[in-house]
Amino acid sequence: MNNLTFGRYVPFNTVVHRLDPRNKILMMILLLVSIFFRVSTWSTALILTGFQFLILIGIMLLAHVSFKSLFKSLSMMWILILFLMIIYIFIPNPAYNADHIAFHIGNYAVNYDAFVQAGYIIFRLVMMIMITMILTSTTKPMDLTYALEWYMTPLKIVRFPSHIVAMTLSIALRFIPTLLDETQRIMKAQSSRGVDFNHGGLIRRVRALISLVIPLFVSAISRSEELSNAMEARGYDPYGKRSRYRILSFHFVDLVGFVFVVAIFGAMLTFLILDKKYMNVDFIYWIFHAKPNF
Amino acid sequence: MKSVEIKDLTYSYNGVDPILKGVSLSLDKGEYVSIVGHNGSGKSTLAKLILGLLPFSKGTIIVNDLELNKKNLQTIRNKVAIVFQNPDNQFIGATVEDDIAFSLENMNMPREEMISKVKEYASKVGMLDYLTKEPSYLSGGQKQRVAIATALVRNPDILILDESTSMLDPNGKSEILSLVRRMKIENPNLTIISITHDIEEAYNSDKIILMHKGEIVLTCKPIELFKNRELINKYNLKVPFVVELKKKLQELGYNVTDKNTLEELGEMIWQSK
Repeated sequence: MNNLTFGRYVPFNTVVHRLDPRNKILMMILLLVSIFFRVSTWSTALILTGFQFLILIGIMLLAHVSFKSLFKSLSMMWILILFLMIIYIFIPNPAYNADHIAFHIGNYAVNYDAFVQAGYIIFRLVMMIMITMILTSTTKPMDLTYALEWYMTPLKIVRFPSHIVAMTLSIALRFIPTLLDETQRIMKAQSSRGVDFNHGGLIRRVRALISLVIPLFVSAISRSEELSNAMEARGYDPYGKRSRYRILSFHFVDLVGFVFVVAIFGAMLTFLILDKKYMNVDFIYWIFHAKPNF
Repeated sequence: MKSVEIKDLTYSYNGVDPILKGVSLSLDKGEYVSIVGHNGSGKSTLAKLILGLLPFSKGTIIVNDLELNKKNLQTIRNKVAIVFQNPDNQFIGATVEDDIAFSLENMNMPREEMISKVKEYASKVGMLDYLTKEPSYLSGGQKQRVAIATALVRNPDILILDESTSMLDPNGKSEILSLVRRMKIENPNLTIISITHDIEEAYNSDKIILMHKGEIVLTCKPIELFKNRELINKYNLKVPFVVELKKKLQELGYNVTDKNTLEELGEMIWQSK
């Protein structure tokens, strides 16, 4: 259950919390895309990602996102890191510099570039996690669904029922804690009847899990029936005209935030386009090589 | 004016054994009616049928002089509200205010009006301080109070309580019952149909309908029902405290035939020698 704490909404009253969720989603997408822009030289790439990293740290501090839960979620990533390392080390890449050989495994030469490459990817993945964490821990899940609904409205032209999808999503979100409680209750009930969820081999555990999943599904289905009755009784008609209680509004802060993010995005894009031809900001290269080669 | 009229209503879930067998009843406007009976007697099914949540083929239901059919369904639903048994399964919004607003959104009410209505009804049920709270932070009684607010905010003529207090602790129970009574005083025209196992509540209502195996056995004033020992034994009903006390006093040789409330009996006890 503890894994679920990752990215859970934490109620604070910061600027980031107050931003319009629609704006936040858009900004998140822009930042995510800009992280995965690739420039040609290592040092440029390092400087740019480092710059983005610092900005993200700044936003996290501003939004009171806990670094502890970030580390917690990163500790779950070590399998991925290992996997990436193995992939990068054992798949030969002609682009690697043949001089940069770290060590040999048998006859196979392991290149330094492989580590750098893998590290770079992992670094960007970490930043990706940071961005999504900033979004989910500063935005109520309900506000996210309202924002998604807003983004889906153009689909109404092709008769896509965006409001129904949003309603379904919001009900699903609303019932997560209820179903978690239910899971705990069924687990206790089954444990008291002698089911052991924590010991034994894989097959035994899966068997134990079945005794949890089936009652959970049965209760969820009967719940959904009661819920639909309650909704109908309160006059819900998915195809009828409904007014809205929650209204999303775009404030001046949103504009400031948006301009800021677009500026970052624009800067990254400029680097990406001008990189090869005109802008060699290969500072590190200059520092370490007395005679620059341009 | 009649509030609900049901004629010869038969319903079965599977088409074979009927859960309701030719039920007929008629309720006046502003009545507080309790429907009692054991599990499986068809009480809850009756409530769902009145709301048009189940399709029925035999019999007629007339609510507010309108016959329940496809055409009138939405009109009737706007006039009938229900509070179900499980507090969790009828909480639709993310927070208390969203849940109350859900009922209003369905009525396509303008937003400004909604905001004031949500506040008004939240304060009526004493949940004004909890407007932004999520259901997981509320007790069962509080959730049920919200459910009553979501029902009443639609300004219904008929309020059905489908065992609304049966999953609550004694505190929550008495809270809800006193709340309903207060709402009834505020709006005397509200017809309340309470499906209940709580015999004390039934005793305090205007009328009792006793159901057994899909049929209405008896419709009468509560006092009449509890006078009839034979019926009570036959249907294995609990007896309210007042009735029990009256019986004991009678056995001691007091004349209590015209005294029906705890207060009257109390008066009599302290005045007697």
